[in-house]
Amino acid sequence: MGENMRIQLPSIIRELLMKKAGLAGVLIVSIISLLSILAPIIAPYDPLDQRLDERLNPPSFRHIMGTDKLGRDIFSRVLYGGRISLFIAISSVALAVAIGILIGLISGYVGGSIDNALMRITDMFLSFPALILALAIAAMLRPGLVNVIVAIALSTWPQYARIARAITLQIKSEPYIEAALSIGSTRIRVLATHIVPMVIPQIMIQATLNLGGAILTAAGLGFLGFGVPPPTPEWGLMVSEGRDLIQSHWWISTFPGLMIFLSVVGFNLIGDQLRDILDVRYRV
Amino acid sequence: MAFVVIGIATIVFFVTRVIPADPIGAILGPQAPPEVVDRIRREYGFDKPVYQQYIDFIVNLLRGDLGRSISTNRPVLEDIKERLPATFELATASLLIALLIGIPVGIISAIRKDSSLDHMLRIVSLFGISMPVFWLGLILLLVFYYTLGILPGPGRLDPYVQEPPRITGLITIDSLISGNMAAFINALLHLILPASVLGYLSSAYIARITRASILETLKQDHVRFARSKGLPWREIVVRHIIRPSLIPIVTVIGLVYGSLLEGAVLTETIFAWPGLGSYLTRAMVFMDYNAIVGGVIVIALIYSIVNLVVDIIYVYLDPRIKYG
Amino acid sequence: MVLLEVKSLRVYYYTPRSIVRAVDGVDIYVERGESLCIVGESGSGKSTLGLSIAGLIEPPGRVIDGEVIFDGEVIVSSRFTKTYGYLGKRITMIFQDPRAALNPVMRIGDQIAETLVHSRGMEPGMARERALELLRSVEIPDPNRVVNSYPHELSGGMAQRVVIAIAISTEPDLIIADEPTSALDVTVQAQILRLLKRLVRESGRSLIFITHDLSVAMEICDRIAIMYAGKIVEEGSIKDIIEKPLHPYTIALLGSIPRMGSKRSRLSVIPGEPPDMGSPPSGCRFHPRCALRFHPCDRSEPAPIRYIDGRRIACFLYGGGDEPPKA
Repeated sequence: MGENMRIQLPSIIRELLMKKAGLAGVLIVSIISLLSILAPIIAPYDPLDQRLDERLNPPSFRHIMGTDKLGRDIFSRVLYGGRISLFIAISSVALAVAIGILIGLISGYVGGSIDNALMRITDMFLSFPALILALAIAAMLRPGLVNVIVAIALSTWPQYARIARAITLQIKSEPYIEAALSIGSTRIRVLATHIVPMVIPQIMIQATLNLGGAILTAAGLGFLGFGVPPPTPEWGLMVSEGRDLIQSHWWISTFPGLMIFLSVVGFNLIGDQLRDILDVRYRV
Repeated sequence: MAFVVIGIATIVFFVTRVIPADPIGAILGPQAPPEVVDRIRREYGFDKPVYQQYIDFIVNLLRGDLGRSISTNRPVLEDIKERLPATFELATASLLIALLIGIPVGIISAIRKDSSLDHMLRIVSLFGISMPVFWLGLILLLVFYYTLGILPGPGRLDPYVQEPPRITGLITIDSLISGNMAAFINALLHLILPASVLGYLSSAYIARITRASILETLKQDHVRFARSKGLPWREIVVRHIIRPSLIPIVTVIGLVYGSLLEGAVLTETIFAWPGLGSYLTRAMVFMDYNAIVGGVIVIALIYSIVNLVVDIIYVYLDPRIKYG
Repeated sequence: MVLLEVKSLRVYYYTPRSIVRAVDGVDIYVERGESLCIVGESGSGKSTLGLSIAGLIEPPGRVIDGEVIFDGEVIVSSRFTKTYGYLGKRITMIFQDPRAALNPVMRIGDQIAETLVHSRGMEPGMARERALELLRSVEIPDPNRVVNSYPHELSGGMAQRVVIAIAISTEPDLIIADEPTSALDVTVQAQILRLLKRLVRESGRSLIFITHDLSVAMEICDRIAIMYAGKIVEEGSIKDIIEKPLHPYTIALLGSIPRMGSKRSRLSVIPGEPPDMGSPPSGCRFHPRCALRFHPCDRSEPAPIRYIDGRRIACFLYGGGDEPPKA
């Protein structure tokens, strides 16, 4: 499936864009990503710029999403917040994938008591709801971008480890692996050239499906105050900043939350469509 | 099982001891005289070397002692026991809503696949799994309480309502038991908003899984055979489509409960719900080590137990699986 | 007396890539008490034909043209499917994989009883009793145990007996069996065939037996219809077809049956591949693989004609084109 997958990637992408849901998802994600990347150019104000005479202004022509309690333009902060949230989501998934593949490969390939031990550890990690574990880790580390990424990664790597291990176990006993070993390839070489290429596509699919969840987790941590520290604009943090003022100043929490929602919808649309396409192709 | 508990505890313990921060100093503040800080630190055992702390911790854990909360100065276990029913009430109410809405929606969606109803329901479900739970909570609170005033605000009970005696800790049940109808209705009204928020998000997840499961079942031969028996469609749907599909859904309930616990942590403070979630978030803000460790362990334990129960039910329900 | 008639039936599947003409102009009939076999390779459309007769075609499949007439009533046409009152009562079906055909989470007894309760309005208690009787009649040695079992606990052969029990429970006039023995071991196949044959003969029922295996068909049928690429290419009594096959495809099929004491030392294999039903060959659909093809064969389709001994054959060798018959 792995080799196959790489060759099929262009056609998968094409099919993705041809279906309504997939197209919508790609559009949403692209627009949000574009806006985030171009934030320095598009944003009308500096996101950290406090204008105390314009505090708590409702949405208007000058500030299309209004201002917060320090007079900062919410639209600009939302744009810059996108960079943070997307970066956290992608990085944490990437890190989780890396850890998961490493542990899964070792576990599956080496087997024996190491496999047992690693799987026990994986199970232990899985006995926490992911957010709770991420929260505990993030709360203990000092607030910061890297620490948030690490916290989320440490709470989500187990599923990738399981996939990697399952595939490794499947392939391990295939004749061509034995053949490669018998002609003198080292175990590491076999791992790298034969097993990894089969593991990666499956994991990439799972990772893509999880991007939306990563954004939600990151926002959740930010909302509770254990994400990136203020005054950095982060969507979850921004929602919490408007929490006490929700009654009279709805826009402070609403817009950043809306952005979280829209970006997760985008990623989930892509994920759903991807799952449909691959389901059809890989029906047994 | 015990191994898993110790494992959980170990992870949590080391997570909390990672940074050599000084919780006592943080809580007491820089004004506190050093002797006081030292004394309290000794009292809580934070002066001992880490490995010693770990051993003490595990030993205590096995005895059911989770230490003292640094901020409330009460045993953590006591605090948790007091707050647990509130979260349980919320989680259970949310789960009921999630199942009562999610499963029928999933069934209808699958049977009327690709109809406009199916598309609509799928969009609503997609929204449900994409929404940040804390944001939805705030928005609904804004709309239904602050703006429209049709639902009560944060808290479990209005202050003017007489609180029922604490029998189970679930205000709704307790007020029913003691015949306090005013409290029952009031508590129920307070429960609606937070349970609906958590319930909607979970129902979306359940609806999606139900739909997928039923679509899988529809592909199977026994449905075609049932049709060839000339059975009425309704009977086929119930006995040959829904029943076999329910089994995978049961396994998902464990995961759903986990997300309900996460949701509780995120929304209890918004709704001023005095449960385990708000306890944990507060403990984290105050760096109350023992409370954090205790809270996380209890949540992980609840999650593990629920999943274990779900696994057992699954084995019981599916005749194809033999235990052992 | 004709029980079932299929007239000019066309059933197409509308897939995103192409239109699959699974059944493309089929005329067959079954008399009361007669066993008709429909023999063809996989992809020939025989299963679709079986399902169409029962009115079980679902989207993306559709009945485009033609009719299915059962006991004088049109039950399936391009405009409607009116099998209520027939399907599950007078017409029942048996499928290929018995353990997949049974509901995995329902006990066997309940699955038999549900048919009885619904079709005959039986009381559940009586239905249970009858279920045990039925299990005995299909030669299941321990009915009491089986009645309380689940499908996965039974062997393939036992499960198929259960399916047969369900199929005969309503005393149908017609049983449609779609490859009922293909998923079973060879020894069990013979038993099931014998059982089916006995049950059908004893009660004077009609049977449509769909299979890819000509030797199996020879065991159980009175008449046989050979199907290729959505069309019936030859049809006649089993005796006539076996002794004097006319259509090149039939000849080739017969040549590929292993026979004891046969002078042939090799099995002859039909060259080529089954056609792609989304874009079938032009003209006679068998012509790319036909050893006897000649020039009208790739140009137009041979119409089925009645041969001298009452058989039907669709092949230019026997007429149906502009040229006089060659054979």
